[in-house]
Amino acid sequence: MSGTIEQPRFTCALGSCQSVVAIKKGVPILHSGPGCGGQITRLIGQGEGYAGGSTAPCTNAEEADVVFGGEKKLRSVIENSFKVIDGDIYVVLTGCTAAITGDDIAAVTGEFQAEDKPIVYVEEGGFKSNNYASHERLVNAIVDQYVDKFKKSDEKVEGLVNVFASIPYQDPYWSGNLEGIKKVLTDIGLKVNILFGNESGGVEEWKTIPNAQFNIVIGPWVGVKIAKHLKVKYGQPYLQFPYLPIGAIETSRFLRQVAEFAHLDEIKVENYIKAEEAKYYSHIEKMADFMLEFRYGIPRRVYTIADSSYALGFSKFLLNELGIIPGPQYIVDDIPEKFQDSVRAEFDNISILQKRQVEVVFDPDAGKNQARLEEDAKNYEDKRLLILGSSWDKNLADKLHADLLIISVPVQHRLIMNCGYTGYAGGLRAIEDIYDRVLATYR
Amino acid sequence: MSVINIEEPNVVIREKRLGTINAFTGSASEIVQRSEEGNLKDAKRKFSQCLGCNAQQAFCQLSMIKDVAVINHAPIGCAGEFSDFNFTYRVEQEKRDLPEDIGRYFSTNIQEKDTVFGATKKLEETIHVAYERVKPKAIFVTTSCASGIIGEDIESVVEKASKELGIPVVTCSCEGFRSKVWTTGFDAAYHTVLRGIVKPPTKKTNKINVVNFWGSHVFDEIFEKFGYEAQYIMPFASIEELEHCSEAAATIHICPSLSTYMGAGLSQLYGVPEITAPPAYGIDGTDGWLRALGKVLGKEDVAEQLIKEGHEKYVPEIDKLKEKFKGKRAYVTAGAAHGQALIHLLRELGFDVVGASVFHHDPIYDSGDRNMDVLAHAVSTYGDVKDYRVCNKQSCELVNALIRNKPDFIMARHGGMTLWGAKLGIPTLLIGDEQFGIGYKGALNYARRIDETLDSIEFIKNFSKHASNPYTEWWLTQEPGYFQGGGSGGCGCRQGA
Amino acid sequence: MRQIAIYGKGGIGKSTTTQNLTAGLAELGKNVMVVGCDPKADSTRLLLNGLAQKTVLDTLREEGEVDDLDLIMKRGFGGIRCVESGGPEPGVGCAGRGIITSIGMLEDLGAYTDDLDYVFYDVLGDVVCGGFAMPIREGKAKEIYIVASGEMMALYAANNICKGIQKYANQGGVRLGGIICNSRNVDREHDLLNAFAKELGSQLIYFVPRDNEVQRAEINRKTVIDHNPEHPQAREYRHLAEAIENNTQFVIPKPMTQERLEEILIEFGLMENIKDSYAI
Repeated sequence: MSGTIEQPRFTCALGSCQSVVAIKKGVPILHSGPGCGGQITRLIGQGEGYAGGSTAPCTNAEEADVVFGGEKKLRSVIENSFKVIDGDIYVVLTGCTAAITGDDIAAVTGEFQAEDKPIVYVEEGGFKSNNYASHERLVNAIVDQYVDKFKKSDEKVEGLVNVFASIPYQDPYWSGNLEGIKKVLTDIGLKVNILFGNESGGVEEWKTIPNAQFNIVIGPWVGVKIAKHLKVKYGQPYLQFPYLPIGAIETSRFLRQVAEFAHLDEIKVENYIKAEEAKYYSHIEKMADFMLEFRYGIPRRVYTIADSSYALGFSKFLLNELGIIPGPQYIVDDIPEKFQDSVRAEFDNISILQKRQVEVVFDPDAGKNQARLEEDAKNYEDKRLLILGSSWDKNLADKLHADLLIISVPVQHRLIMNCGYTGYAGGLRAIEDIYDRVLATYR
Repeated sequence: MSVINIEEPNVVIREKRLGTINAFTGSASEIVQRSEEGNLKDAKRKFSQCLGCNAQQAFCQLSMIKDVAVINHAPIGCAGEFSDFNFTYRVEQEKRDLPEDIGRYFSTNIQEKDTVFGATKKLEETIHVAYERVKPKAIFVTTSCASGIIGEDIESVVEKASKELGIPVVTCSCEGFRSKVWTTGFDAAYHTVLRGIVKPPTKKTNKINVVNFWGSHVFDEIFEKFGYEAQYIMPFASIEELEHCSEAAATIHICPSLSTYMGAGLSQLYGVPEITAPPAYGIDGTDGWLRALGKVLGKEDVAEQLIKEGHEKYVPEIDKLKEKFKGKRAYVTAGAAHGQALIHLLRELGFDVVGASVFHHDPIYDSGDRNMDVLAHAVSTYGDVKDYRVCNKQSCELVNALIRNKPDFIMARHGGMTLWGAKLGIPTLLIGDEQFGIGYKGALNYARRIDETLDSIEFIKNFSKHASNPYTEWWLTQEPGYFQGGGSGGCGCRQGA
Repeated sequence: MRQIAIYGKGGIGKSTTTQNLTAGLAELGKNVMVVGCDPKADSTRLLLNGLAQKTVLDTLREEGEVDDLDLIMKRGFGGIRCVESGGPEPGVGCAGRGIITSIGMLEDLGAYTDDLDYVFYDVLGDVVCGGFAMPIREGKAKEIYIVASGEMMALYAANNICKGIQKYANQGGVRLGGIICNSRNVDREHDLLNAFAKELGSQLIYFVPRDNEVQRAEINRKTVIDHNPEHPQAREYRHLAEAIENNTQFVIPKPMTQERLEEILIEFGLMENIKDSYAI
């Protein structure tokens, strides 16, 4: 990882507590300092959720706990969490204090696991990684300590698939995105364990993870560790689609890959795709005049300050379906070096027609990226610019008279409920949102 | 009275300095009495929910000082709040006609190997990066649990950097585990500024320090009448203004819980008198405050004139609204002094304040002046509040208290608590702007907003039908103070007053 | 696979004893891994014939991540697998966290293979925080041996360490296998250590006599078995290895009070009078 970061776009390893909140009736128990829960939700929270935010049980480490250890306190908080909060699964996560002083949470949680309580622990420590990486550790821990113990059977169910896509809350559109992915997969005949959010069946669904025929990972790196683990544990093969599928081209590509991998009825899938594309392109056709003729300027160049999955997904979509040319892509999720080449390779193949050069910069220091962006934009003063970023970029967008679509946390200039950008409907939504902002600048 | 010592790098935490507590079950008069007697004990909790940490409060005060850079020596998670404060910073800039700018906040991004090998080098680098990018007039370095436990020698780093860069680079020691009371963070921020920025006075000005968050400028008009000028610190003050705040004629508190340390510090170190009357909430609260201000400035006649005018202009309309509130039961959940001020205001408006859940309790402030005890004032003027609880957020305790008290209206002040009122179908009001309720106009402002809240109940009633409830049946029938043990909290049973 | 942690006062000879005894085990044909848990990173010097070992934490610091076991594990005498956790210099950072991190890495990298017969953890003398107890957490070392001598401070430290062990023993499977005496030629040392071990509810599993051959071997960066296999001291270490191999007594230790410890010292040790004892 790197050094100084200005304008954080992610949080620390403890941030995976939000993934717990995204599971129906999931309760995170933080064995950490008093501020951690608050800090995390201020960046990646969307309200409290069921038992997240300020409702989450926390040991609120004090000086004495740091010096003398906090295991006793943890035991008390866990014991009483069961009594006070009605949850289906409880996950103990450690913050920096317990991790540095070496509290043995495995032992403490183990006492409750021995009583068959639905509780899992993950040894983190905020400094261990960012929450992209810790999300994988969390899912694997739940699989090892809960799913494996409480699963009903090992039998494989044909057509059942586990999907590991958006990271809840870190992806601000996680709710809508997961719904969108589940929809298209269900439409082609699969039964989907989406695992997080409204469309999931909560812990009962998690218990069927071992029964899936195969797994799908959506994204360039987060989720691969999970799929590999499940391969070893339950012998499930996995398909990886390297970015969020946004719009018709990519969604169709995605569905065809899944269909091939799962040996689905090709004809059925093609018919579905045809029907969806027909609907989709009828809308595109409606606005083609606008795109070609609008006098006053629509975006022609796009910069991205976001994570690798969004950067790839949106650049492909914007170029191939809207003709907006990608400028430099500033990837801020601190993707490990070993995955960076494959991301670059995907950017090399960005166009459906021709070879294009896309500059890719991997640097989580978003403040520095903004300076780079501003410098680059000086060469394109004749073009109207689009920035895919976060609320940190509002200032810069105003300065450059660019349009800003917020696709990354922190989100302070939008209220997000179930908006999602995946799938056919998602692509149309993205177009509406972008041009909404463009047109709003006109009196 | 606390002795403010700026030779020490770390501020003394509130628990030690003021005897502040986080847990209490009893009545308002009881807590006032124990505070006066100096035997108020804290209680531990066997179950707790997420609090806030003092690093957040420190950052809130340092982050909006103009022309500074703030460095958080911590893992990236502790920087989660940066963007929130940036948002506030930009919105308030616009209100003040200031040029648009983003807050320049940096994280040293402490990682695993840094916790093993130490991260002072990283801090040095970040200080230089911040300086290059921002060219600030000062740099503040806030600390974290991680940097604290591994024992980072931050003082040497900042001293060296100060010399190299020729600007104050000052530490603010605010590790999360340092204090159980998150308002220690305010003290830490003020301590940092008193240590590293404020200069001894060379003259006396006609400015009056208003130690606040970023509320509206309601004091400009008032002070003008006295021939003085309001100087709002610390958000939106410049380094230069802070350097000279020791030259002010007086310091006022909009919330003594916030600014106790700063007020006492300026008073002890540089002779700037503090106005120690309770803040100007409510009609008689404003009367008292204006009189105190008049006395300090030697302009009692101006004060009396303002009081007369205020009464004439605002009291009749307030009285009209008071009729609507008669007999209604109210509950308050808020920070210490502000919450107490709201209790006072609500009772003046005719509400029966049946209970309060206040986030902490300072038995005394740094000035040592018992006049500043807002709760004592409320109790002596309007009588006791039977169910006065100190609970630092802990929504589980709040929910139980609300179920028991069944108020008609909840006044909240601190994000995250209004949700519980709404879930129970009780009209709840939260006003963000701290200065909204100041003075006679403030009392009317509040009365109007409360009236509106009591009127518009469709949303809340509908929402409460569908809202989820994470608490078990068992918990909802327990005493709110069930998990408090030892000290004045008791084990859920009420101690005899 | 038997996982064993070696504790004891700083400077008492843990690393020397561990390396010499594992050399003995290797001779018996056992597959052994030695994991140094001390920032000084000197737990495998004699097995590797030098301090060339790159530590786990140094590798982490330089490379950013450790994804190749070969970078940090070297084979020494008798094929013994050697790993050093490493850690910060004195006065900086957090060594305890370092141990947690490095042992975690060994797990992730698959260092604990099924063919291993023994894993030894050589742990820093003063177990000052949770990190240094990492080797005895659930799923790791099940046996602990404490190295001590007849000196008061060594026994005091050993007794203190037992308090920590007792906690982990009560909640998990770790047990005290015995006390190893690394002799300092103190009067009646054997009797003293016997009594001490018995008081703890344990045993003096072996008494290693003092011999300059150990120092000679060390200067040559070797274990005694390596440097001078026919020497009587080499035989001692072979016997120690056998004692460990055949040990069946594993207990939850009963640490004693300061008063009781002093009573034992007076009864069995050379102290006539406590006041004189602090000259040792």
